[in-house]
Amino acid sequence: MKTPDEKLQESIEQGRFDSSDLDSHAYQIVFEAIKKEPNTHLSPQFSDKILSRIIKAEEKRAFQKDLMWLGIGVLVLIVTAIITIVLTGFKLNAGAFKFVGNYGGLLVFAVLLIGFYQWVERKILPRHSAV
Amino acid sequence: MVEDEALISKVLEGDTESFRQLIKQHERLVAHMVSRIVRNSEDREELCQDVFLKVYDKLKEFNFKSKLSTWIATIAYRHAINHIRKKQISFNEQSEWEDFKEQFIANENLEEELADKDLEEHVMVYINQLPVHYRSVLTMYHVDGMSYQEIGKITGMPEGTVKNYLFRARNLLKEKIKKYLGKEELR
Repeated sequence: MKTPDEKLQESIEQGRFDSSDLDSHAYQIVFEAIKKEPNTHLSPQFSDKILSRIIKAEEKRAFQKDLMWLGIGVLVLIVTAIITIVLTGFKLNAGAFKFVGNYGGLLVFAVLLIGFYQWVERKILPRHSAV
Repeated sequence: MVEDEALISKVLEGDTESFRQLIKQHERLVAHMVSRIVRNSEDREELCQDVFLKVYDKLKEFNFKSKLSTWIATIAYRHAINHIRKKQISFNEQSEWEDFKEQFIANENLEEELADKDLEEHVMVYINQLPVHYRSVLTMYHVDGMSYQEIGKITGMPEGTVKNYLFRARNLLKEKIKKYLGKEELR
């Protein structure tokens, strides 16, 4: 059983209204207004922003995938090395490099010198090679 | 439906221009859903973007059992509702309806602010004061032209509830306008 108000809403929806009746007139105003779009301002670059977020997300996903494979690779390498050492009874032997132990200062100097050359190369050479 | 299928298969093949086309076709619908639920305009555009990112991620799960627009609107509705839940914004659920109805009709604060606006603008402002489910059902039915069934699918409400929400919302707006018209006549 429909209430008089429900019947009134139905008839207004079908375009039948009586402007002399206050309820009918008020409903007419309401039905006209509720058809209007709400204020929905989206920026003109809306789709560009979404696509750039998708690209970034995909790059991040690809990087994480690479990182996962790298991690698996390192893990497999370590496990393989351990198994190999256990099975073959391998013992680490510094061999010819044993003499370095007697020249600790020289080793530190060599590392610093190589580091200095690298720094010079990065800081000075690009300036001279730039056209 | 066939056009949707072709568009979706292109997007799934990695064609970003097809996804741009999909965004263009549905951005108004998503913006309507979000803007009726979320009042803070600063959050709205980002929420709309989030909706399309979800659409992109879940597109391979779309099974064509409903229209693409209904499926996208469902994602938008749920995303916006979750947003206001997270922000703990009051819902004004059905149990509070009678209290709300009384307050809503009695509240005259808005009338002073709206003094120089036309009647349609009054209604638009009143809609924004309605509880979230009422204003979203109103928009889906009257602005987006959705059926009761589609609205039910999107909101998870039974069709009877959708009809009831629509009736109550329009009735409340009518009462408010009637009160305003009565006052205008007295002036």
